[in-house]
Amino acid sequence: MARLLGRIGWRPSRVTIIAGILIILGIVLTGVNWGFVFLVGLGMLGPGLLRELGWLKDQDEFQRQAARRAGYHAFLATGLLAFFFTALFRTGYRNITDPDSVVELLLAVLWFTWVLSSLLGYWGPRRTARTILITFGIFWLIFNIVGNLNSLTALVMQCLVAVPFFALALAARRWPKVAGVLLVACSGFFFYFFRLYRIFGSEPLAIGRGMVIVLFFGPLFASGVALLCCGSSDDPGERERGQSH
Amino acid sequence: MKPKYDIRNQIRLHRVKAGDMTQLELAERIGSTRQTIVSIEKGKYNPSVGLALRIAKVLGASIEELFELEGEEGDGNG
Repeated sequence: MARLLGRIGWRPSRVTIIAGILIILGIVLTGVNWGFVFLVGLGMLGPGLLRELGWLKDQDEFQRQAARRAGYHAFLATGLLAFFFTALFRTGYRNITDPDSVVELLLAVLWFTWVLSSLLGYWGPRRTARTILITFGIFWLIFNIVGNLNSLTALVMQCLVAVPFFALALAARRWPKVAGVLLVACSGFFFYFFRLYRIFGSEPLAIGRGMVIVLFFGPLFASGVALLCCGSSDDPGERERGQSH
Repeated sequence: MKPKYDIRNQIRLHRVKAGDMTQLELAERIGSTRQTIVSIEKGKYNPSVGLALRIAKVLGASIEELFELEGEEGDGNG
């Protein structure tokens, strides 16, 4: 798997792979018992915790700086959202019937902001967009393989949906602006198609809408905007890959 | 607070002088990553004193040869 990802231009470290496996395993096993959601937490926060305790020394100072800055961004985003919900509930708003959805949304925003900011800080927009798209494609593949094991046709058809993500990841390398426009357009289409605009309606967080926006619409939209905003001098590593200097 | 100066560096030039050392080679010798070297060379990241000293040692140059201030504070009294 690591070699396959390397061909696409992404070489996740062993720690990232283990954390990813824990997250996927945790999400899949929540179908059996929601207690397994703690595995997701271990995957998300475990590496950072081990690094802070000094038991894991796999990052250099630039990576640590990017991660800590991302932590501050995540604190700001999650804090703002938490105060927003507090104000909402304390003023008598009762349209959110499922309090779990609020906590899950806060966790999703925390994680998404941290990942996005640390990737942007370390790699820059182009490679960040590619990483998000490849991760997205892999997650899509895994969940569809797990969910469609009893029907080969459904499995193949569902897996084909992942192809545009990998294609856009490749396009982001050579034609970032074109890929950016396509991603923003795609995210806009998903926002409409999945009726995510209902977040502004009477039951904003019903049927996991908040989570879908953060974890589905968010990565695509953020990747698109990052690609559209990146200048020609961004992501120097992209141009210099494999060269001497 | 945004600093009133920028730090310009000559790492790329000194890598060439040091026998066409690649970014990856330099990164491995100082215990860092290639992306970190890329970011330092592009001026997107200012390394710590410790990392700057390690880079200088590997490239056989002084800190002053590798890094210099530019902008208001780098202009001296003028």
